[in-house]
Amino acid sequence: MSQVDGPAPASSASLVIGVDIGNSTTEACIAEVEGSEIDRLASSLTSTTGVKGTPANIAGAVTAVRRALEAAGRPADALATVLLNEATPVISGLAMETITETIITESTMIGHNPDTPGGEGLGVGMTVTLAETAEVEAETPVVVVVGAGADFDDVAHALNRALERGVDVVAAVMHGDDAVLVVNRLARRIPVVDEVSAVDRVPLGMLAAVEVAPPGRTIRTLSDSYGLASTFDLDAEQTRQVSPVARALSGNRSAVVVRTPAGDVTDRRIPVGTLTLSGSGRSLDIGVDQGADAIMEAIGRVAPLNDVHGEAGTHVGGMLANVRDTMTDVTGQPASEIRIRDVLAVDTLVPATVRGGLAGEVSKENAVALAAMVRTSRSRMQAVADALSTEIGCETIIGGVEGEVAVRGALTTPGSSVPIAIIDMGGGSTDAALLDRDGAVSAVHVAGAGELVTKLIDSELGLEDREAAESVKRHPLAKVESFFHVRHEDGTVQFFTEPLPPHVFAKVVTVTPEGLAAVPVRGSLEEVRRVRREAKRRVFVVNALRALAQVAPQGSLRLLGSVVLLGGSALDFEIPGMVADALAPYGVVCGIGNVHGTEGPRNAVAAGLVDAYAGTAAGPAPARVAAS
Amino acid sequence: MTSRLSGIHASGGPGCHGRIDRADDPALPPAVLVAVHDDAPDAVVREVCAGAEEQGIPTALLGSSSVAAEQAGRFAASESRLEVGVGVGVDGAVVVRHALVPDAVLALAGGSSPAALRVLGGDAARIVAGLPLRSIAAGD
Repeated sequence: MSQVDGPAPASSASLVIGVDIGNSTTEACIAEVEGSEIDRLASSLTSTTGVKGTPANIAGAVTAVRRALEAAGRPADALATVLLNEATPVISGLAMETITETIITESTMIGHNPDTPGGEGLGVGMTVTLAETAEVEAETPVVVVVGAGADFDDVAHALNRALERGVDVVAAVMHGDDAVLVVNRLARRIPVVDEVSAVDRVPLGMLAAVEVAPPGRTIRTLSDSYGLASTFDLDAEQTRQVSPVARALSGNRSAVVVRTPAGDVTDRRIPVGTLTLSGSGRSLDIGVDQGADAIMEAIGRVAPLNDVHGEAGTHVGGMLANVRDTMTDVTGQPASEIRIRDVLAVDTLVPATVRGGLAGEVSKENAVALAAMVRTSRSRMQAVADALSTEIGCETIIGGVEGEVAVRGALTTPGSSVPIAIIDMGGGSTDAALLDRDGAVSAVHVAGAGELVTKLIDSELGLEDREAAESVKRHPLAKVESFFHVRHEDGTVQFFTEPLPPHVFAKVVTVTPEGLAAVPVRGSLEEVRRVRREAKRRVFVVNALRALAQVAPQGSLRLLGSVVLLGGSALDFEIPGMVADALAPYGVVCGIGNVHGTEGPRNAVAAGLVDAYAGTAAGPAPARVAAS
Repeated sequence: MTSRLSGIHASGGPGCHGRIDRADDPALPPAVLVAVHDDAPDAVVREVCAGAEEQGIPTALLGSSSVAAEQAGRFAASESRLEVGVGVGVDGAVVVRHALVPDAVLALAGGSSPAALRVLGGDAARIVAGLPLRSIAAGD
């Protein structure tokens, strides 16, 4: 907000408000315009209601207008004109499909890695229940399977009695979290794996191996193909078959492998169908299970995209149909008229519960996330404008093309000059525009932005909590190391004089303005940080380069000169740095927009609308834009 | 003071140093102290100590004249070299305290389930180990 000194506004001045409805936020900039003189009074920001470019936006737009009026201290009836961006009719949809799955058959393997397994070493024997240990012949090597509800003292007592009888108790598998307690009470130290929730499904009377590594180590025998071969006396062909078991167990501190006639662990690729990419000249089919790189490469070959279809009856077909249906719901256009104009595919790893697992084993499965961008008809924006006029009671004008207006707003950043490119990093799409020396503006919209980053973080960390994922995206991380200090992700330590609450103790937390918020993950801070940065890189860095290449002269980023970053994501604590780093090799000046030297990367379109209006009213546009 | 290998020991177990008279005994390894009134239920003490033992952190029992868990816990935490203490009241209520934290970190009313008591004992140990607390993992 900028207050310009000067006399009270003359009666010829009119109160104008520029309103920019974005995918995530609706921004407003209120100003007094007299001729070409602009006196900016205030700006405001609120969440966009509904999908951008649909009548549901009115509530948010009205809120933004009211807030700006309030901040400027002006009554609503003083307002002469509302300027609305011609919200580029771009809506984006997101979908994610898992393309691999791990299946355990015949309960062959338990690899869930409990926090506190008991004992250490490797034990190989026949699986028997606790009750059966009383009947087992002496000298028989047995792996005891302990069901739910058994008390650790009773279990230890029964096992000790069996050992006294000469039964070779070599290991145990338990339901409860008792492994250490039982081992501490045994006459012989054996490996024990606990917290096996479906212990009743462990096959009995089969040869099984239990391995527990010492603290700080990982298992060596059961996670190795030839280790398994030696343990179970397998031939070459059988060894080949069990190698997926070994791979699935690598990195664990404990594991159980049961040898059953047809037991197996398989990594299956789920057939998810093909995408049909229709370009202006030709179309290409690409299998989604080939991964994001192959999809993006195919999109590059058919560019510009006219439409994208998914194979009917497959996952990807359903996925794109969903995107179309959503667009039909929000825009009122029939699904057949909706064209998907851009797709961003991102490879991701999603933790998924293993099918056939006995202890809630989780395996990281490959998935492909798709952001699709749809162009809709312009008529809906007129509906928004009409409703807004009625609601506020003044004239509403749909202003210039968004890209053009945004460039105009960005040019008010101190230090910027023509030619100038902008990257508007929003919630749904990443937009780029270029204003060249001749005053011509070219603009593109590519699919994928902040929402996709949130979704990637949510699924890769297995949070299933959009709010938590949003918090991870927006705020730096820290680890609470005691009741009185945290270590931030850069290693700096911060001390607190008041004790931190128990619910964040020893947790990975996000450092928000409201305080520390626990991130509900088991992983380390480094893991969460890596996921967060990778998600941002794969969406924003990839999209910035992709979009700029489309507007750059001859497609060469070297010819861009300067790039101004706009939009909510330009306020992020690391995205601008990541984009600037990626652009540095091209000799581009890249920085965060500072609209009118005060607004930061926000409000470029809203302020640009007002500037454009004043420019139109007074004839020429502001000098800096006109300069060639 | 050595741990017993097997058999039922209502108050403690192999992970427990048993009943000690003075917490500042230099021969005693650092431990989570559990202050117990003579009339406190043995079953409660057993589960709390088992919880800590499963986490691999030693405990020791300290006689307490306090009837209420709150005062017993405060005493235990202040005496413990690990700065973590557990108080068990005559009514079976349990309080986990840290010597430097003014409020109780965790508390359970009398009559709580053995499973909840086990988790609470484990959490007392997890404070020492610097691991997230399980009894409030669902909340927050």
